[in-house]
Amino acid sequence: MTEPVVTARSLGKAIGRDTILRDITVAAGPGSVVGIIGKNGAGKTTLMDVLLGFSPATSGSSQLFGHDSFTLPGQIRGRIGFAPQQDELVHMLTGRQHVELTAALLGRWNRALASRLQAAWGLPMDRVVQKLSGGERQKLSTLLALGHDPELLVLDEPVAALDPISRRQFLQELLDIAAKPGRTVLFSTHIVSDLERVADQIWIIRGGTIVWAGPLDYLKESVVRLHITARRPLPATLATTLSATLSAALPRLELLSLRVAGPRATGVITHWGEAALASLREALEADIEVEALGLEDIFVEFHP
Amino acid sequence: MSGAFATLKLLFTAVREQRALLLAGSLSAVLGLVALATGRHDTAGWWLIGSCIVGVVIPPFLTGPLLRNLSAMRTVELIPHGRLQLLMGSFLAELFTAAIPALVFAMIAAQGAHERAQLATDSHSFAMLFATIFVSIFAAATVAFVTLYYGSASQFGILAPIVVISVFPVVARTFPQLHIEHFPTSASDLSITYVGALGVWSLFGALYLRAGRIAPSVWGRVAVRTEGGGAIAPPRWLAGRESGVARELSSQRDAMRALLTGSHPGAWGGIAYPVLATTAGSLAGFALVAAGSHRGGLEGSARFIAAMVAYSGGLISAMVILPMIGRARYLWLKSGLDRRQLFREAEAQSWRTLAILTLAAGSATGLICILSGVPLHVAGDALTLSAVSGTVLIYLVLMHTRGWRIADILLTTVLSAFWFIGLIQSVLGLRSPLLFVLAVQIPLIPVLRAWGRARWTDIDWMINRPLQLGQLLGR
Repeated sequence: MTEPVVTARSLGKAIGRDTILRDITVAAGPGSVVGIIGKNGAGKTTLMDVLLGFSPATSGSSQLFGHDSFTLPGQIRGRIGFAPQQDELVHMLTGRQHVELTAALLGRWNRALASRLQAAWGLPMDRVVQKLSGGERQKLSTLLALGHDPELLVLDEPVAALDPISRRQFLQELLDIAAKPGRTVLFSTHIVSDLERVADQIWIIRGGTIVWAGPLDYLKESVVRLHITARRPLPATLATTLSATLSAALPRLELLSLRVAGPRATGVITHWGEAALASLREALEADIEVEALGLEDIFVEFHP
Repeated sequence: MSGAFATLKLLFTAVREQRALLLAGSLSAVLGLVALATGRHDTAGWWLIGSCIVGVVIPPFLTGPLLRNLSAMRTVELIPHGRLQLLMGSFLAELFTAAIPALVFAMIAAQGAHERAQLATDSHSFAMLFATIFVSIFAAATVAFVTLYYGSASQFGILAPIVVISVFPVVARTFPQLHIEHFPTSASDLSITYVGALGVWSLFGALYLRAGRIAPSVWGRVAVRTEGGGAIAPPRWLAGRESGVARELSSQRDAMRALLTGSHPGAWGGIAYPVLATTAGSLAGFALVAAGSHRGGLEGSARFIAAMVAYSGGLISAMVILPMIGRARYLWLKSGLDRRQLFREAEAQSWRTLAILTLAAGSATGLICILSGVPLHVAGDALTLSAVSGTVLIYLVLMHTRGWRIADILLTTVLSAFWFIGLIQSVLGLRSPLLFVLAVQIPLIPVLRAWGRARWTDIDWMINRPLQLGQLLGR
C-alpha cells in the first residue's frame, strides 16, 4: 500500500483562546491533486501552515512523507514547494536574484522548467519585486515554489491575482505537474471552476473542521438534492424519518438541509445512493426526484 | 470631525505595545489617585507622573509616519475632507500629548506648593506652570511630528531627528536673544513658542492638504531599498554554471544572508546604506553644530553627537535584525536548516551587522572627538556601552518570537532604561557608573541568548510572518 504524502490525525490548532482548527483527519497520497475550499477565515491557510510545519499543532499530529511536520528534516523539506497566499519576496531584489538565491539554498534547480515558466508567464525577471504587479508577484512566488521540481507542491490561493489567461496557463501547468509520477499537489482556492478542472480530491473546510474529504467525482455523485412530493402534508419530523429510513442503506448519509412546505419538501443529502430511492418512496408515500448538483451549489449547501 | 476623533483614538491605541503601555499607565494613574486620596502626595506624584509618561510616550513618534501611511491609502483620498480629518486628528493627538502631562505635573507641583504654603492662593502660578509644560511638550511634539512625517518618506530620514536636534544649538547660539537654550519661563517666551508651533502646524497643514499623491512610509519595510531598481549583475558563484546549481558553502551563506536580511547579496549587503547613513548623518550633525558654535562651547554638543552616533549602531542593528524572524520562515523550507540552526544564522548576521556598524560609529565618533577636542575616551566609553547595549538589544529582538507579552514588555522597559542610562552617562562623561552598567548588562547576554534560542526551537511562523509595507505603522 502506498504511504500517504500528507497525513493529519485529529489535528487541532489554537492561538490563545481562539480555536482555528479542530479535529482534522485527512490524508493525501502520491499522485493526488487536492483542492481545499472554504469560506474566508475557515482555516485553509492555517491548515497549510500547520501541515508544512511553519506552525505547531496544539493537538493531534500532522506528517509529511511520514515525518512529523514541525520537526521535518531538512532533506524532506527540500522535496516540498510552497507558494504562500501573501508573497514573502524581498522588495528590493529582482526576480532573477530571487531565483538565483533560492537555487543556491536548495542546491538543485530545474533551470529548463524555470526558464519555460518565465517565458510562458511573461515574468519580467530583471525588475525589482517592488515594481511588480500583484499578479506578477504571485507568478514569481509560484515559480520559486515550482523551480526545484518538488514532490509535494502546496499553493495557497495561487490564482487569486491572476488574469483569466494566466490562470488557464497556470492550471495547465498544475495538471502537467500532477501528471508526473509521484507528484502531489495541495492547493486552496475560492474559484470552484478551477477545482473542477484540476482537482481529483476535495477537502471542504468549515469553521476549522473538514466537513468533506474525498474524491471530487464521488462528491458530485453523492451530494444530491431530493425533491419530495407527497399526497398529504409532510410531518415536521421529516428529517428524523428520512434519517431513520435511509440509515440502513446509507449509513454515512448526512442531511445538509431540509425545507418542508406542506406536501412538498426539498432536502440536500450527502453519500446518496440510488439503492435507497425505492425504500424512501415507499416510506414517505411520495414521488421523489433526485437532482445532481454542481460543485458551487454543493459548496453553498455545506455552508448553511 | 468624527474622522478626526477616530484618528486621535487610533494614535493612542494603534500599536499593541501602546495599548499595553496605556493599560500600565491607567493602573499607575489609579494607584496615584488612591495614594492621593489617602494623603500620600509624594507617592501619588510618582505614580501619576509615571502614568503620563507611559501613556503619551508613543504618539509623538508614531503620529508622523502613521499620518503618512493613512494618507497614502487611495480610499482616504476619495473621502470628502479625508485628509483634513486626519490632520485634525494628528493635531489633537499632539495637544493631548502635551495637555495631559502638563495638567498632571502642574497639579502635583501646585499641590506640593500649596502644602508648603508657597503658592497658597496664587492661581497665576498654577496656570504658568501648566502653560510652561504644555507649550514645551507641544512644541517638541510638533517638531517631532513634522520631522518624522517627512523623514519617514526615506530610509535616510531616520537621521532627520539627529539633524533637527543639532539645529537647535546652532539657532540658540546664532540668535541668543531667543533664549532657546533656556526653558521658556516668561509669558512672552511661551507665547512666541506656542505661536511658532501653531505656525508650523499651519504651514504643514497647508502643504499637506495641497500635496498630490502621498507615498507611504518606507520605515515599515523589511529592508533598505534602492530607488532605481533595475538589473543587478548575477552573483559571481553562478557565472558560467550551465546547470545553475550552486553548492559552495559561501554562496549558500550569501543567499541565506540576502534572504534573511532582505538585502542585496554580497559582502556589504544590508550594511552599506546604514553605515553610509550613520557616518554622513553624524558628520552633518557635527558640521551643523560646529558652524554655529563659539570657541570653547562645543564640547557638550560634540559629546552629545558622538554618544548619539555611537548608540545609533545598536538601534540600527536591532532594526535590521527584527525582520529576520519573519524572513526565516522562507528559509525553513528552502535552506534545509532546522529552527535552532536558523537561530544561529540570524544571530551570526546580527553580530556581523552590529560589528560593522560599531566600527562605522567608532570612526565617526573618533573623528568628531578629534575635530572638537573632546577626549577620545568619551568615544571609547560611549562605544563600549553602546556595543554592550546593542548586544543586549540584539538578543532582545531575537527573543521577539511570540508577539509582545507582559514579561517581554517589562524586560524591554528595564533594558531600555539601561540603554538610556548608558547614553546619558556617555553624554555627561560620567565614568564611575560605567562599570555598574556593564556589570548588569554583560551577565544578561548569555541568559537572553539561551532564552531566545529556546524560543526559536518552537517558533510559530503563523505569528511571525515577514513584515509587509505599513505593517508596523500603517494598521
